[in-house]
Amino acid sequence: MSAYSSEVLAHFRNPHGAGRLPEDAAGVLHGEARDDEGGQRVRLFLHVGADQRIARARFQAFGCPIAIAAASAAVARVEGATVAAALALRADELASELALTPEQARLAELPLRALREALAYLRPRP
Amino acid sequence: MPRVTRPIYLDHNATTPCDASVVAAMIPYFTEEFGNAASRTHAYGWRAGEAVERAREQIGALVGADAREIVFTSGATEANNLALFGGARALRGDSGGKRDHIVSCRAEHRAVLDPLLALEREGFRVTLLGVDRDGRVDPDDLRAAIDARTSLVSIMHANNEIGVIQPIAELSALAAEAGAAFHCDAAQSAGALDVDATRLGVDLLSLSAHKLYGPKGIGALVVRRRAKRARVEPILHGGGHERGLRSGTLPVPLCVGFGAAAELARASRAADAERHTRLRERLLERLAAELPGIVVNGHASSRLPGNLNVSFPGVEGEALLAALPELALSAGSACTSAKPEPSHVLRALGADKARALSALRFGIGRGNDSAQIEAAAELVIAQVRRLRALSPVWDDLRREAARAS
Repeated sequence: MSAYSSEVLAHFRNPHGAGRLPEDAAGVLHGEARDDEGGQRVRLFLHVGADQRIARARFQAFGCPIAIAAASAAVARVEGATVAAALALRADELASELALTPEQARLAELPLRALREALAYLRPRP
Repeated sequence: MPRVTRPIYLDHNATTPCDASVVAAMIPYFTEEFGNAASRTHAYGWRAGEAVERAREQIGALVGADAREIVFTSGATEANNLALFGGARALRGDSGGKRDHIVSCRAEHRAVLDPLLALEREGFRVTLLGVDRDGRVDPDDLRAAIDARTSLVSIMHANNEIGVIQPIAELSALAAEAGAAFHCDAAQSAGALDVDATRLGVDLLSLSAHKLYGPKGIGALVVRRRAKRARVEPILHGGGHERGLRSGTLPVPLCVGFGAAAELARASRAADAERHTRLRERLLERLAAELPGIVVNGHASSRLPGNLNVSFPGVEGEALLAALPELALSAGSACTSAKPEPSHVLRALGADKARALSALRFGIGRGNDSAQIEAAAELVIAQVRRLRALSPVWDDLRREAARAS
């Protein structure tokens, strides 16, 4: 029996939005998160338009299928969404979409941490 | 992409299929020849006993030992436990408590390392030697580690993960000079390499049937009779079977199967080794030609004929396995809990965590042919490329290399 849910395998085999966006292009932000325990890494590239919507999202991920699937699922959710809606996305929503076990659920945090890091540049600075 | 219905089995270091002729040899001993080999009062027992003795001869012939030196166990794990617990305790007793030190190696199988941890808790002193970048124990390190209290040295013949062959004859000579017994776990090498207990100079040798196309559930410890250092105390008590060293009714069909597999291995070993080496070299040639940056773990040539352990930088082994359902192989880690633990063997070579976690083990065996190897190479190349294309680690490595050049 596979250790991975069919939802994880579907994203892993046909990931949504794999790749990168040109970092120097206007409106392109990026962020990265690592899992210290397992060594998994997720990097997100977001193109945010003047309307505060994420027009395009791409990811790079290293690690087990769960890390790759979590990044793919996050990109599928946030592409086209407003920045506010993207920031409201929770790890438990991703974990349940991917049918992760409680042990695996930790990895759903990775793309969201990368997302917050990328979008931190948009926040008004004091 | 090649289409395969059943995964191509490339995990022969984990286990091998039981040969059809071995199964055929075993069958009668489940049914009509069901006697207890220890029954001395009737023909059922005599015939079972004769079959077991024939199996001992076949196994002895494979490893250059006398039939009377074969002690059947449930497998190599039990053989290792018997050698280590039984040997360490007997030798400590014989020396009046003066010899209580065991030397082994960090790259050993867990079936050696875990008993050694337990022996440490019993008060024995254990020294674990390192290995060089190729995975080999340096005889000078062993010489330096042995002291007047050393009773037992335990070094495997060939490593189960990286296939590396240890210089056993040289190492066992050092143990003999110091009056210490030498145990060797030959679970991976028997049937794959020329294993001769006398030429290797070992006192205790662990064997497993299912690694050489025999049945699971049986192995043996070879306890050399001529070597007075080859002393072991039983760890299982009750009935005094196997010259008192391993009590318990013998599983006659499994003994017969082990014997038949040993005889088959003796006949086909040289041809198998030649063919498996060729297939392994072809696999590596394809992978290295099309995937930049791959690293072979373990010595390039001093390894089991069918073993190839490769790290694919930028890709995690567990992800690569999941991407290759058409192949049955092993990774250097297990990630089911989302916390991959790098292999202790790869770490012992000095591999960093990333290299250790990006490793796959290919175990080529009798069932494989060149068409399967070509298909496997093609699948691995395609999936490594796919996963590298989405890997931030590979992206960074490529950019660094571009900047450097």
